Amino acid sequence: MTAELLPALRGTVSNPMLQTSPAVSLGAGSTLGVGVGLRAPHYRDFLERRPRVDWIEIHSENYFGDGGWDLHVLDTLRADYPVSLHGVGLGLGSARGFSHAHLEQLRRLADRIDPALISEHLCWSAVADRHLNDLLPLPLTEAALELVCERVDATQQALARRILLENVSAGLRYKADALGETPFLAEVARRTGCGVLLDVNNLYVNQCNHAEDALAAMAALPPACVGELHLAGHLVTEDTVIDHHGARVAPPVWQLYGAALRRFGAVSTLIEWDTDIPALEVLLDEADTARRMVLDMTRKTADAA
Amino acid sequence: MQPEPSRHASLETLQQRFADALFDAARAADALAQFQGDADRTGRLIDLYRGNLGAHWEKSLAGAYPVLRAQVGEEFFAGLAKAYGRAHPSQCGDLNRFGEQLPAFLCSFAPVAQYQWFPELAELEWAVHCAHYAADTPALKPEAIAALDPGALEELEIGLHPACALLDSRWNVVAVWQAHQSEPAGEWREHLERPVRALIYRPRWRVEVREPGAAEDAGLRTLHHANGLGEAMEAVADADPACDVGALFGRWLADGLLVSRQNC
Repeated sequence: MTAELLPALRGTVSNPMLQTSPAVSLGAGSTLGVGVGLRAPHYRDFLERRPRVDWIEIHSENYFGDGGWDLHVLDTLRADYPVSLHGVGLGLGSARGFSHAHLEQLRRLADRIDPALISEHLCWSAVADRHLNDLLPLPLTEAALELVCERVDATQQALARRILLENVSAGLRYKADALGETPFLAEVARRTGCGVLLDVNNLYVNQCNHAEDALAAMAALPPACVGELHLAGHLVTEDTVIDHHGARVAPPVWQLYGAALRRFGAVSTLIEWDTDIPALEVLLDEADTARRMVLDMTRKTADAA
Repeated sequence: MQPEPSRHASLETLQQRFADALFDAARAADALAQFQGDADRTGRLIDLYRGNLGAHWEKSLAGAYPVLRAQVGEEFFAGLAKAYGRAHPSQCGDLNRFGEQLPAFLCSFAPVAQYQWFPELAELEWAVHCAHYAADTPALKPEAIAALDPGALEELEIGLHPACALLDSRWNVVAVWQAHQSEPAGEWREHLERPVRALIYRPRWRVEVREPGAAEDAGLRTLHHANGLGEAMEAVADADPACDVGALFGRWLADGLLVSRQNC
């Protein structure tokens, strides 16, 4: 699929909640505002009182069933919120063990939900005879770049949609690495027309673990290619910093988020929480903080103009 | 899973080494040499990835087998998950499919040999897990049936709902499962030592398990094998001539067990 065809496939995004917000400059495509990851412990809150978030994101694989409660909840909430499908199991960079059946499951879900966004990770996750069910870091080489581009092409073709590719927190870096992760992502975006989901917390984690300057990493991404930002908490251990998604967003990550807003505009932003999931109010509070920062940035941009 | 062209051979080798190190700490040396940085620290980080793998296995199995987990305790269950994950590596990026082979694995897992009902309990829990994700095919409603004239009822092709499953067990795992639906668990030991039939079904969103009588079981199995309602009711009457067939049919409708096969 060529980049020229993609805008036609992208579709338009409409979010009634955004109509009361000031018009803001956008990254890749329209902004959805600030959303939260929908997790099973919060189903009741969402069904009973439709909390005021702009959009929701789910882990695609949790909705691969033929039917049942989880899909019913998603179908119901879909009427009130734009939905983003965030995959954790496709393993776009697996040299062996890439599953076209998995891609077909994702296509089936996308056809059912008509999501505003679809994303996956820049990672690998399987070998010939087994799946490792993790977001494993890729060597950042030309060979890996070619493979990922082929797979992103195949995925966008199968889905007839543009996808976003997310940077991961890598515990390890390879001796073979020839370029940084964000230049790698920028090149995948250039060759395939896909967008980038920039996880600001992962940038910070990699800065801590590998002394990779997070601001320089952002500067390697053309502003127009970033279609979504992720914010989450991390865990500092003796050996490493882990993106465990089990805490509030840390102050240095909020700072980086401010820098990301200045560079990429008011891009759709998500609060992620996957470990020790707290009351929904905590996520909504984090979302409010992000929303205030978006408004603040928007006002400053307007004043400067 | 499909083979890829060999031009990705170097990437394939690199990923295979990493995967081998995750499965077997003794094989980490080749993987270690691939990474930047201090070897000791790299080794600890590979251990961390290995820990994640085991944690994903355990979380996935805990979701599908909550009763088994309650019976063996969390600590033993974590060890069971690791042993199972090595013996039956995940074949799918969707971890909801990971536990499918656990009932078979439990048959040959020596540490639980004396707990002879575990494989059949696991089989029941897997059926419950599958029922949770089964298609939402609309069940036949009593009022829709009441509106049909008798001829139309006989011609209606009736099947079992996709969430329905029927199992036979040498142990009363239905009692075990039901006892663990409350906290703290009810009594199950005194009921254990008798064979049981199990009906797994999902009236709407919550999966239920109950023990059908011999006549009901015969009727449902007949439907399950895609035979008609008439044959199913004959099977019921053969198994128990005294059975109130009309009341049983009413219960099947109330429980959402029946669908029109045109909807499947």
